[in-house]
Formats: sequence, structure tokens, C-alpha cells
Amino acid sequence: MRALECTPTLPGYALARVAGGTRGGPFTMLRLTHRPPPELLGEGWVRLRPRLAGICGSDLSALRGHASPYLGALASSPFVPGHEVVATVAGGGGRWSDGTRVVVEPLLHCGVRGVLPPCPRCAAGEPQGCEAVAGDGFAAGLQSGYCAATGGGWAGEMVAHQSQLHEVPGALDDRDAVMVEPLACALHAVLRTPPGPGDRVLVVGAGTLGLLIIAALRHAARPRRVIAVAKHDGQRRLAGRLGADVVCTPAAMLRTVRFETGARLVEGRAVAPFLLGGADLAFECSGTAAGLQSAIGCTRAGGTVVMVGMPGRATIDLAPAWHRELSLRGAYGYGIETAGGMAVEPPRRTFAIALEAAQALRPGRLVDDPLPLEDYRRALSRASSAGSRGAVKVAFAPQGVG
Amino acid sequence: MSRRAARAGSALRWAAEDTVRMLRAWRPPERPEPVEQTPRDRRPPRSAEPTWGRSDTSATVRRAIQRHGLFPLLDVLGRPTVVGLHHLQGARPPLILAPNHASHADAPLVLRALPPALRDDTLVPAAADYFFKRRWLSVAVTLAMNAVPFDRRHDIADSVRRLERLLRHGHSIVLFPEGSRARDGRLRGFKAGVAHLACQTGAPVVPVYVQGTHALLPPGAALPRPSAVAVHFGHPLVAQPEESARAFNERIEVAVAELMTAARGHAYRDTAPRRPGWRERWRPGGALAAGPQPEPPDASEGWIARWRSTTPR
Amino acid sequence: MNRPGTVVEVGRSSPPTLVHNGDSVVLQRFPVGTRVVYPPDPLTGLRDPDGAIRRALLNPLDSEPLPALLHAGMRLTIAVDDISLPLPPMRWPDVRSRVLEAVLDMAADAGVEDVEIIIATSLHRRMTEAEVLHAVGRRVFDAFWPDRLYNFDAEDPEALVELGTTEEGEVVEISKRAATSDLLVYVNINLVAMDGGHKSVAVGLAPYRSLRHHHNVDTLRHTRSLMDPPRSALHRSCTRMGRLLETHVRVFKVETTLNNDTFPAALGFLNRRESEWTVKDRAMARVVAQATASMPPAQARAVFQRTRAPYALTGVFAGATEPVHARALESLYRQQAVPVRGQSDVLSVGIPYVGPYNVNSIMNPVLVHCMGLGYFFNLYRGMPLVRRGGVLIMTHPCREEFHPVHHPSYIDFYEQVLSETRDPERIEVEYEERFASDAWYRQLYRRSHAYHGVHPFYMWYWGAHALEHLGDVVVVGGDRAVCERLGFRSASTLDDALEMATQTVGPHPSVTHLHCPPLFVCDVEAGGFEAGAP
Repeated sequence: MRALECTPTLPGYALARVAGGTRGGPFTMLRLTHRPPPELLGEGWVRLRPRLAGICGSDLSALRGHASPYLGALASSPFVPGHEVVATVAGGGGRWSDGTRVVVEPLLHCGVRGVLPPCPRCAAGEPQGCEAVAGDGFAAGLQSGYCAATGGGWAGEMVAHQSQLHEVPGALDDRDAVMVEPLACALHAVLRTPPGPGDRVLVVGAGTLGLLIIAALRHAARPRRVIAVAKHDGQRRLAGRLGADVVCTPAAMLRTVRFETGARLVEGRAVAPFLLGGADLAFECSGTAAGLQSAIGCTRAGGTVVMVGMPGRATIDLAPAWHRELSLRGAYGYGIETAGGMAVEPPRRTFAIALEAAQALRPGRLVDDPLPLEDYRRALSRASSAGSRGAVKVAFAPQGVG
Repeated sequence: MSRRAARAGSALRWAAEDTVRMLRAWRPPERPEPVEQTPRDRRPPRSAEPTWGRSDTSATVRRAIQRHGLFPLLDVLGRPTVVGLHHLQGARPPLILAPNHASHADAPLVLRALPPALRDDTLVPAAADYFFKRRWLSVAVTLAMNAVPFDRRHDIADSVRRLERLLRHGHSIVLFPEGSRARDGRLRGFKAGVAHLACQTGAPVVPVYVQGTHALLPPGAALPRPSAVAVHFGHPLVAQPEESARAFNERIEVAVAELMTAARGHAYRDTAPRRPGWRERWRPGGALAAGPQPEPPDASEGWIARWRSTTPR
Repeated sequence: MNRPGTVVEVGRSSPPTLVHNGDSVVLQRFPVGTRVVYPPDPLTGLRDPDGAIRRALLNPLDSEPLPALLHAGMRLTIAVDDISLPLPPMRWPDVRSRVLEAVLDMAADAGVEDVEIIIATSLHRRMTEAEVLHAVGRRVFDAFWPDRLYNFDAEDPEALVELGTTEEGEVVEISKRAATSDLLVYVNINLVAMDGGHKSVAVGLAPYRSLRHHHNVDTLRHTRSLMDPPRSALHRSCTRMGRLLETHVRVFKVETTLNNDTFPAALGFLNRRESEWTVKDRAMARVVAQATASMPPAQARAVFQRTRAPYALTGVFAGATEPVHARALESLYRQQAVPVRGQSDVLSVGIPYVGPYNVNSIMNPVLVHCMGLGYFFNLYRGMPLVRRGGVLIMTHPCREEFHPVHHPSYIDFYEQVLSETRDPERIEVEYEERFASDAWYRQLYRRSHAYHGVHPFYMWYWGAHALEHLGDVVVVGGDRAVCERLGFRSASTLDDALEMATQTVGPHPSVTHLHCPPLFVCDVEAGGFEAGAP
């Protein structure tokens, strides 16, 4: 089986940090290997042949050595990346007949790991907060794609627990399906912190996540205004098309938010200008310190800043967050939604909602032509510079193209 | 012909003004003023009196420098107005011209304002520790302004005696009673040296108010900033036989202050406004109690009295 | 006797024509047959301006002499025009300071203690201390600044009072101090025919709530033109409001007119016709054109902003508003009127470095729109200089540059509003209220030196009549993206611009170029002006 395998060694890490940060630079921790497919891990496990596997921003930062070491401790190596997967069932799986098209919900929580009794978070219906991810049952890993035992989507084969699978309706093609996982992330973030009907919402960053947050806001909530901040022309066009009321460049962000919310702009000495007043709710989707800093500076007192993009170590002035009594919260993964802008009743899994939303939104239009695993260097460098090249999501076709 | 020359002159003047403005804009970052050193750390200044400056050759060279270099430059920079020349009609050397001191441009401006007959005999005592420390500078000021060294650090009495001698020989002098330049463009207290000299020699003292030089070339500035200036002459004062130097000094001070008051009324019409520096606003009244500086608006007092006090003459 | 303004046709041997180009000038060759309209030569100024002012105050029109109106214990308010007049700022002493000193002398003689001087900024930016000093003079400044001499604040609810509503439903609200005074003396500079009259008090001392009744699209579309008060809906509205407020407060108007000696001697070539340039003028024109074009914009701007106009006083009139204004207009037209026969297909103007709203500031794109379509287009009486459906060619670099302190709301207007729509009516309905009530703009207007939030809208409305009338607008040398945002087309050269104009007006268009500033106003009569192809 061909696979892209990631071995985080110390020299590789160092080299990646130094050289891999540049666009299209070497990805020293990743190599294309031939290796035996992963073993089924027990009862209820299914063998999958990935059809498309997306390249996520978190994958890129992990490969470039920019991800937080915190996450390194919650992975096991060597691992095969790829957690945005649409695949075909290829044996082993009880009620899943071979050839069924499925998307993988990659969380490796107690239910998947066979931990009994489940940890308190899983028991409470919040599998994204599972406490067993550091190695109960089998190797550590937050998700398929960061775990040595399950394999990941960037390979010819992987394994998954049957509870992780969701059948793809015929109406969705593979490209739509590969976007279900990020769309679920976005929906989860929006449903966990739903904007009120009068709220003015700021979305910082317009990569895959940012764009899907905009789409999710329009799909699952009723905010008054959505203000999107996008760096590149293509992103700005898409943000507008997906439902942002106002789209601006990062340079114009402060003025635009000020204008939209009627806030006051303050220019101080030795500090970047900021607003008093501003958005009621901000989604930070860039995962950068600058993005987070400006989101904090543009949110009104008592507002909420949701970190959707994966942040790392960052130097941020938190005085405004303190002074404004901001709620600064994370939004990770997906799980079971119980409430939301449109009350989700009864509780439903985020993936189920995302599969439905995907049929309305058709997010496949954001996916570039897939590349085979052999072209991984090209694919990764394309993914790194997706925004400036007018692309959004780059995906592998592990079974080959065409 | 002369109209064309005038036009060419005004074009040149415009070009010069503009060049100066541009140069001003590109001034290097300000350096702190050098720390005052104690006199004994320094090379002893050349207080030995150069008499060559008063030779006929020097006088001819000086006239050429003044006519074709110094004065046209002053005209471009300051467009000096001269007020009160009638007070000097009939005055003969020796005279002591006692102007206020706000700038290095003061002495040349006073020379510029004097009638040529008086000007040629006029000497400018200049600080020996500044103007006569460097050879090129001492030559320059001697040639351009007929400067003579005045040692204010080592032996003032000796210097004063020397000036006395010069006065007795029939030279006029330009001597600043304030001693050194006022840093904020206002009058400082007058020192009694001028009055003393006048009492000793009987030379009349001409009070002079030089207006606008603080804006033209304030202390510490590298380049002048073109702005209107004026030289106001007052009626010559002669020390009374029984009058003490101190009392006479006070008279001189009041005379210059009066010129200043009158000049300010004049200024309302003749010169462009200068925004007062913070020190002027910070200390209303300042060093000169009887000064023309308007009091800060006071609601109880009303505006009419103040308005009347500033009526132009 | 000064030489009147005239129309000169460009011939084969004519020298190139000087065209203002923002912070620079260019020498442009217009096609043979182009009409260039030149201003009249400057009138000789009054020999004794102070004496003339005093005589006007003592022998007013339809009023008792000023001293008779002043008595101890009264409340006297003097209002003066702000930094937008005159353009460029005039050489010291400013005519305002002369009038103020004369008025204050009389007030002092009458023993009037309660005197305040208000700078009638309306929704313009507050003037800085130095600017006020220049305008009112050191003597007035020393005696009154800052508590009795101050900028008007149209956003201070405590300082405003509503006086009533006109028969047309216009709310009249003005400065409380002015409205509750026993006498309001208003000191005007009538630089163009738009200024003065009832517009002074009704606009200069009024807040947004009152201004919106005439500063709107509908009124300005029926203002044909701004320089022809009898045919201007804006001025009719101001007159209604002014008459109403004069039933509450006694107004003593002082209007002054200046000659058009706009540029100092060194830049004298800007005042003269190219055919009469001396060798020095020609050299200076080349030098200035080259130098300012090669300097960074900020530096070129600084060079021009240092010029002070040597304007001289040509008339001063005092007394009741209407007769005073009539006489002032007469005096103004004596200096500025130029007869022009017939409209043309294309009107060309060069936008200079300064306009009413960017003194010591930056001419931003919205102001370029206002200058071209609002002011230059409106320099007519009778009929517009350009025929209906004709083309306006402006010369200006149109950089995307804004003064961050003076024009904050302009930036948002440009970014947020113009990117959505350029239709004045839509802009008025959808955005005006929001800008006018924005707390931040209000704060900057009151405490910093910013134009009011709603001011850029007025700039846009100012061009409403022209937008309706014109077929196309082309900007020579304009930044492409900026022109697109403004709804103009940009051309790299004048020839290209004329070529583009033919798409709208047909081949061989007739072209008129305004050699302005110095300012003038064209009396356009119907007549046979044919395209200049010989």
C-alpha cells in the first residue's frame, strides 16, 4: 500500500521549521512509502479505500513544524495524515457493505477506542473533549490521521470504527463529501456559539474554514450582518458569494468594522489602532496571532471571540480581552449538537447536520482538481499558497486520478 | 532695464527663499547643545585685539562684503523694515547702540539699518570665547561686521576699559545690554555695563529694538527661516551728570521696552503672525513686568481695556 | 480700467496652455479651435481698505450705522467665515482681521462688554489655533482666544436653538449664542457668487438638522447654477430660512469682495495668459511643472500650500443682508464675469491643488468629484458651458489619498458607499443618516479637526446637477482604479481623453477649456459656436 507517512524526528522537525516554512519548501518529515495496510483493530472495525482526502491547514502546520507541541503529545508516530476523508468500504465491516461511499468522522473518542465505561466527557455527549485520546485502547491520537494505529486518508487504505462512518447520499459527489468534515467543524463552531438575530458577526480569515463559517452562519443562524476579512481577491469574491454582507482586506478591517458597527476608533501610542465597540461575535479562522489580536481589538465589551483556526504559541496582548470581559473560547471538531441558532431538537450529530447542509451548500465547488499521492510536493505547496492562487481546498486522490 | 533687473531680483529671491526652506526641511536631527566647559579647560581665547580690522583696506573689503553679500542676504531672509531713523539725525559718533538680543542676526541687522556714515565707524564687540576662538570665524566677523573681541569670561573690566578707549577714539559700538541672547525671544534683565560705559565716556546711548529675529534665527537653529524683521531706533539717551549707572541702566531698559511695545502695535499690521512658543504662554508677563504681553483672558476684567492697550500707533 | 475676461481660440501658433493638475501644472496642447476662457485682469484694490471698511460700517445699506446699534450691556456676537475662504489663504493681513478690528473698535467705544466671535465652520473642520490666528489677526486673537473666539460646534445640543419652520417646512436651527444676541455681525468674504447673503448665517451657524433641507440631491439638481443665486434652489431655501431667522435676531452683514490676484509674484505666470508670458514666466512654468511633477506628492503639496494669495479688497458693503448681498454680487461679477457665446460638446478643466475643503490638507478623490462636477461645472450663469450629454474632461492625478485627520468619514464614504453605488439618490436614502449620526465621526468633528460625518455626502450631491447633465466624465492622468470607483473614465493623455469623448459626443467635438484659477464665472448665452475644425 502506498502511503504518505509522517515521522516527526527531531532533525526533521528542525529542518522543517527552518526551511519548510517557506512556500513550497521541503516537507522533510513526510515521505511516500510502501507499507502494509493497518490491521483491523477489533470487532466493528472496517477497512476503507480513501477516494479523496483533503489537506487541512492543521496538517500543513504539523508538517512544517509550526503546530503546537501540545498536539504532538496527542499524536503517535509514524502516522499517515489525512482526516478529511471520503472513502469506499472495502471489507470487514458488519452492517457496512463493501463499496459503500462513506465520510469518516475522525474523532478517536472512547466509543471508538472501546473504553468502558466512557470518560466523563464522552458520557456527557461531548466526544470532542474525550479524555482517552492519549493512548487508551490503542495508540494515542486525537483523530484518524494523527494515530499510528488507524492510518489516515493520505494512503491507499486505512481502518476506521463503524461508528465513525456516515454514508454519503447519492446527491453528493466526492468533492462535496470531502468538504463535509471541515463543514462539520464550521457548523459546530457556529452552533456552539450561535449569534443572536441582532448580532453583527466578524469572520477573520477566509481560507476553507473561514469561508465555511460564513456559509454555516447563513445556513444555521440568523446574524444581522456578517463582516468577512479576506486577504486575497479570490477569497473576497467567494466570501461574498457565500453570504458575507461586507468583505474587506485585513488592512481595511478596522475601518470597515468600525463603520459597520458604529464603533469608535482609538489610536494610541505604540499600539495598533483598535475599536471601542465593534462586533458582537468574532470567529477567528486564520489561526494566526495577528488574526486573533485584531479579532480581540474589534469585538465589543462582553462579546465573544471564537478561535476556530488552530492557534499555536503566540504573543498576544490580552489586556483588551480582560478589559472588555470578552469570552474567549475555542471551537474544536464536532460532536453532538443540542442547541443552536435554530434549536437542534432532538440532539443530532454534527456530521448528520453537515451532510444535510452539504446538499444545500454544495461545498465541492471549493475543491481543486485532486492530485495523486506521488505529486504530494506539488499538492502541499499548492495547498500552502491556495489563497493567493485563488484555490481553497486541495485534496489527494489516493487511488489515483481519473 | 531696471524693471527687468527688479524682476530678475525677485525671481532670485524666490529661488533663494525656496532653497533655504528646502534646506530647512532636511535639517539633520537636532544635536544637544554642547555642555558648557569651564574656562580653564579651554584654549585661552584670542582676546588680543586685532587692529588690522580697522585698517582702510579692511574697511573697503568690509563695505564690499556688506553691500554685495551680507545685506542682500538679510534682505532676502528678513526684508528688514527700519523705523525711527529720524532719531539719529544729527547724532555723531561715538554712540552706543543698545539693542535687545535674541539672535546672531541682531548685530548685522542693526548695521544694515544704520546710515552708511555711522555704520563705517561702528564696531561690534563680540564674545571672545565664541567668535574669536576659531581663526576663520574671527576673520569672518572682523571683516564682515568690524567685530572686536569682548572677553566676558576672564577679565570683563579689562574688556570694558578697552571699549572705553575705542569710544574715546570716536568709534561707535553695538553693545547688547542683555549680555547674551534671550532664549525665548523676550527681554532679559539689562546688565549695567552699557550704562557704566556711557557714564564714563558721556557717549549717548541709542535704544534699539530688533523685532522678529527670534523667528528668523533662534538660538540653536542651524539655518535661518525667512520672516519679516524690523529695527526700531529710539531717541538717544545721555547720562545725567549725577546719575548712577544703575539708574541710567533702568532708563535704557525702559526705553527699549517702550520701543518694543510700540513695535508690537506696529507688528499687528506689518509682520506675519508668529505662533507664541509655549514658554511665552506658560509665563504670562514673563521677565518683563511692564511688557506688552497681553494678559490671559480674564472674564472679570473684560476685553475693552486690553483692546485699547494694543491699538496701533 | 482692467481688461475683461475673454475667450481665446487656440490657433496653430498658440503656445501650449497651462492646465492645473493637482499638486502640479502641465502645459497642454489643445486642438486648434479649442476655446480657452481667461479670467479678467485683477481690479485695482481699494487704496485705503481700513478706511473703506470704516466708511461702510458708518454708512450701511438699509440700516443704522453700526455704532448706533451698539450700546453698553448688550450681547454682541460676531461670526466670520472659516478656512474655506478665501482660496488659497490670503496674505497677511487677512481681510477678516481688518473688518473685525474695525467692528471691535466701535464695540469698545460703545462699551460693549459681552462680545463673542464665532468662526462659522458649520460642518467643516474646526480651524487650528494657527489658522484662526492668521484669519483674525494677532490683536483680535490675543484679546479673545480661546474662550470668546471659538469654532462653531454643530453637534453641541446645548449651543443650538430651533427658531421655527419656514413655509416650506424647513427647520431653522442655529447657534444659540448667535440667536440670543442683541446683534449678530457676520463678516463674509465673497470669493465666488455662491458665498454670502442669507447663506452665511443659515449655513455657517447651522447644524445638520437644518442643513439637510437644502443640502440634498433634489435641491442641488435644481440649483442651476451654484454661482447664480436667483436660479439656485439652494439659495432660495437659504433665503427663506434667513428671512425667518432675521425675525428673531438682528443681523448686520459685512460682505467683502476681493480681486482675483490669486498667485504671488513668483508664481505670477499662473495669473497670466500664456501668450503674454515673459521669458521668466515661461521658465518658471517649466521649472514648476517639472519640479512638482518629479517631487513626491507630499512635498509638491507642501510647496503649493505655502503660497499665500496677494488678494486685494475691491469692495466692502455693510448693512441689511439683502441689499448688501446684491451690491457684493455686483462687485464680484464686475471682477469675475466673462461673457461666453454658446455651449460646447466638451468642457475641459484642470483641478488645482486646493479647494474649499482641503486647505492645508489633501485633495482626495471625493473632493476631486466635488471640484470638477460641483464647482467648475457650475461656473456659469445662464446655461452650462457644456451641452446636455456633453463630456467633462478633468486633469488630476486622482490618487487614492485621504487626510486621516481631516477627512475620516470620506475614507468610509469612498470605501463603503461608492463601492456599492454612485447614484446620489440611493446614497442619500441608504447611507446619509448613518454617517450623520455616527458617534465616532461626531467625536472627531467636535474634538479633533475632522469634517462632519455627513460632509462627503454633500460633496457628492454638489455634483448631482452635473451628473444628470453630462454624458461622460474623463480624467486625464487619473488613477484607473480610483476613477472607476468615482464613475469616471481615465485617460493617459489629453488626446486620448478627447478621443474617448468622441464616443459620446461624436467626431470633431467643440472644446472649451477653463483657464481657472484665478476664479471667474461665465455668462453663457445661446449662440453659434461651431466645432473648431478650420
